[in-house]
Formats: sequence, structure tokens, C-alpha cells
Amino acid sequence: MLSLMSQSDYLSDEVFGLEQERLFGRLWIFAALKQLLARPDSFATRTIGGVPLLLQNCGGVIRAFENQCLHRQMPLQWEDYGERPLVCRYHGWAYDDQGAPRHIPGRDEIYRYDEAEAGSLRLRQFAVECVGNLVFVNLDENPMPISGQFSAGLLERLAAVSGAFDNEVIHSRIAAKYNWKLNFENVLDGNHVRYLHPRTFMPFMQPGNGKEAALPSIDPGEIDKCRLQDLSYESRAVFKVAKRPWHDNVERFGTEDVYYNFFLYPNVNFISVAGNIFLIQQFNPLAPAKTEIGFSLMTARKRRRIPASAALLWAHLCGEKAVLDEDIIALEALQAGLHPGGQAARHGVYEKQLMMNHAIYRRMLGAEGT
Amino acid sequence: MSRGLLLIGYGGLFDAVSAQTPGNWVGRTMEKLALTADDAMSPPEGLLEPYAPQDWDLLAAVGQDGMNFIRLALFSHAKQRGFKFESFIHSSAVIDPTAKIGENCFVAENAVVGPHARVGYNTAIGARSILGVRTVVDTSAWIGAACTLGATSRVGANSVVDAGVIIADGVSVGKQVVLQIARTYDRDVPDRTYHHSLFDRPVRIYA
Repeated sequence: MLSLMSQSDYLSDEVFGLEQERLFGRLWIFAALKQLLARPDSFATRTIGGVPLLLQNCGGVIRAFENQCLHRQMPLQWEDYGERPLVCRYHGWAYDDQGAPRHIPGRDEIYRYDEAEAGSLRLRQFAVECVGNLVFVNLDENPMPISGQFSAGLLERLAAVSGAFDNEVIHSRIAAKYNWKLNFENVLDGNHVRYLHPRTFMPFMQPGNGKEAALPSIDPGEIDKCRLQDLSYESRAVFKVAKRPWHDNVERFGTEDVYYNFFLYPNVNFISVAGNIFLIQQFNPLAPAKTEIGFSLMTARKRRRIPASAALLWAHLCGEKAVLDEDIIALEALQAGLHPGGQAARHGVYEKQLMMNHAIYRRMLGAEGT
Repeated sequence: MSRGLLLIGYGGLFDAVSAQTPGNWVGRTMEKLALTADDAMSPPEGLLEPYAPQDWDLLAAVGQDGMNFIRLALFSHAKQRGFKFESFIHSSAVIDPTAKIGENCFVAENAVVGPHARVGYNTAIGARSILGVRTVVDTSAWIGAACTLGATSRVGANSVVDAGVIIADGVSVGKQVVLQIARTYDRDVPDRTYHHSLFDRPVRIYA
């Protein structure tokens, strides 16, 4: 089956601009972990759809603002996560919980804003939804309900699973030279694991697991009729879990030795190994051939202190990065070979989810998409 | 009769220390107890039963595995049972008389520990590394070979400073940090930050 995507969809600046506007400007996008925004003045920063964002605990409420001071566009917060009042480091403008300046040093002496101008100053604010410990942001002025993007059942599962997150999180951002869609498509494609990850990941999968899974049948009209909610879902695979002493010190999510795998359209893959450890990887578009992968990893909530938790998180992160590096090498090679005159991909039946993904993508980008 | 010396651990550091006898150990009865990594991490009850704390000093020789927490686990296990520890100071190392070095430390060949420097317990200083004047390396840390830690610089507990790293004068490296990339660090490094070649920007733990 010929893909609905052309190679230009992974190369073109014009397509990239449309994606930023029509996907990332309209969809609910994962933005931060709520457990790291629990304290007063705790914050997270992100860029979504090209817009620098700031999520700040404002008196117990998480708000999303544009992360630019109204004075000279300096970012109000600089680090990925932190704890600091909403005050610009550049000229000391301080903001209230609604994003209005509450103090402008020297306002009457050196700025001389009149009351009308001063009263009109307010940071752009965006819609926020929290699902368990997952914080989503929507840039649209009239955002769709989050239930329009994720089914009620999935939202319930996400709240339950992410509710098990511990407060200690190891976090990084990783640059890759390929289009963000390639990485989301890659995680949807479980068939690549045995070829790209024969030593790092495949040995943990139970023998034959996945091979015998019933392949979906594809009704020709089904792809066209699919809904946005169909793109985000949970899957599970039986996994070999080596028992570790620290497992007794956390409140594991569930009881099964399975690999939980959540796909959150458009750009998040959220996994858990047996409910003991969780990894969120997010494929953030920076340019047509430039992606930044957000990596956040944590254990299930600790019952008691684990003295070596830093070593534990670091070791797991390095293990996950080794798997990711195998994908990065392959996907960068794939990207490097794409060209506008190249043929479209040919999908098999097992790639039904991918095809639905592309159908919705085409619909959301509209006729202007190539 | 002098107290015996029990060398316990596994891996490269254990092997390296096993092969050498510093001058201050000459004439002492020495036994070696090779462990598995799992036993070092979670020492089984009865591991040290054959040895009485009043007769034996210990040296727990485990490398930087688990950000030095495995060596710390073994050290703590023995400490709780009343053992005292020796340190391994290579005969070619130069330790200023005003410097202080804690127990269960390892100072490898040709390392230099400068005036008023302090090395906390259970810490390793690699071969040819230099600790400047008033440099502080906290407990259970690991300084690899050929590192230079500038005057008044600090390295926090359980941090791993890999081979060839230079820490500029006065710079403070937090606890549980990994500096694996061999370069000069001339700004303070917050706790639980990881500079590693696997990642193109520093990794952080947030809580």
C-alpha cells in the first residue's frame, strides 16, 4: 500500500511551517511533568509550535505563558525545570499569577508608561490540561477538548499510570538530524526492533512476542474514516524483567511483567517497564531535518529512600540512550537519502496505525500539504 | 601482634591494589576476599563473620560502579560491624603533610595532594592526578587518572570525575555528578548533573 506521505513531507520548509501551525498550534502537546511543578514558583520551559513556553506554578495553579518578557523578549525562565518567581533577569520586571506585570522597576522614571499602556500589558497565556502527572498545553485560542484528541479510556489509563511517577526525574534533550515524524513512525513500527536493536532491546522481549500477534485487517475505507482519537493508544508486550533489590522500594504500577507502550499523537512515546520504571520520549520538531528528543525517566513512587537513586536513574537513562542511538543512526541515514523526487513508502498490513496516522496528518494539514 | 589487613572487593581497583604492597602495609598479615558485584552491592549477612573487627582492618576496593555507591555499600556494611579501615597510598604519591585523607581512600601512583587539601573517606584519586591547594574532594568520590583539580575547587560526594578532566580554581562540582568528558570545567556544576559523551548537553536530575 502506497503511503500517503511524500518524501517532500520530510524535507520541505513549507510543510514544516504548516505542521507547526496546524498540528502543534492546534493539538494538545505534552509539555511537562506535574510532579515537578508542585511547589510554589516551580516552573518548566518548552518550545511548542515554535513558541517558547513557560509553565509556572502560580499559587497552586499551573499556568502556561509565552516565555518572553513583555519588555524586550528575554525568556522569563531559562532552565528546563526549576523553582523561581516570575521575574525577568534582564531588567527586573516581575509578573503576577495572571501574567500581568506587578512591578516594573523605574516604571514612572524611565519607562513612563501611562495607565492605559501599563494596564494592557499581559503575557500571552495558553490552555493547560493535567492528566495525572502529564501536563498538556494547547496553543489554540479556542482549543478543542482534550477528549477530542485522546479517548476517555486512554485519558483514564494515562492518569493512572502517570500517577505512579516518582518525584525524582532524570531529564535530557537530544539533538537528531532527521524529521520528527520519522521518530514517531519508528516507535509505531515494532517490526524494526529485531533488526535495529538485536542486542540492546530485543533480548528483553519474550521469544516470539509480537510475531504471533494477530495482524489487523484493513478495510479500504477504514483508514479514511479513522478519527484523531484512534492515533493515540496503549499496547503491551510480555517482557523479561530481571528482579532488582530496588524494586521492593517502589510502589510499582500494576503487577504484570509487561512493557507498557503508549503512543500519544503527535509526538510522544511513553513506556514503562513492568510499572517499575517510566520513560517519556518526545520528538520535538526544530526544522524539517532537525528534531530534539526530550527524554524524561523516573521510577515508580518510592516507598522509602533509595540512597543510590541518582546512579539508578543515570544507569537506566544510559541504557535507553543506547537504544535511541541505534535509531538515530538509522533515521539520520534515512533522512539523508530523502529527496523530493523519491518514491513514497510502501506499507504492509502491520503498519495500519502508521497509515491512520498519515491519513489524519493529511486531513489536518489540509489541501496545502504536499 | 599487628592487626591483619583484609582487602575486599572486585574489579580493576581490587586487582590493582592486590598486586601492590605499600610500605606501611609491610609485615602485616594480608587476606584477599574477592566478591561478585551483586555481593558487594548487597553484602550477604555473614560475609565478614570469619574476621573479628578487633583483629582486622579493611580496605573495600571497588571502582566507580554505580557512582561509587557499591563501594559505599560495602564500606557501610563493614563499618556497621565495627571494622576500621586502611587507605591505600601508593609509594610514589606525594601527599602534603598538611593534607588530610580519610579512611578507605585510594591514592594511585604519582598523584599529588596539595597543601591543606582534604579527601573524604571512601574516595579514590587516580594516577597522576593533582589536587591543588585547599582542594576538597568529598566522600565516596572518584577522581580518575590525570585529572587536575584547581586550588580551592570542590568535588561533592559520590561524584565521578573521569580521566583527564580539569576543574578550574575555585570551581565547585556538586554531589552525585558525572564529569566524563575530558575538558576544563570552569563554572560550578550543580548537584546531580551529568556531562557525558552519550549526551550532547548536560543531563540533570530534578526533584
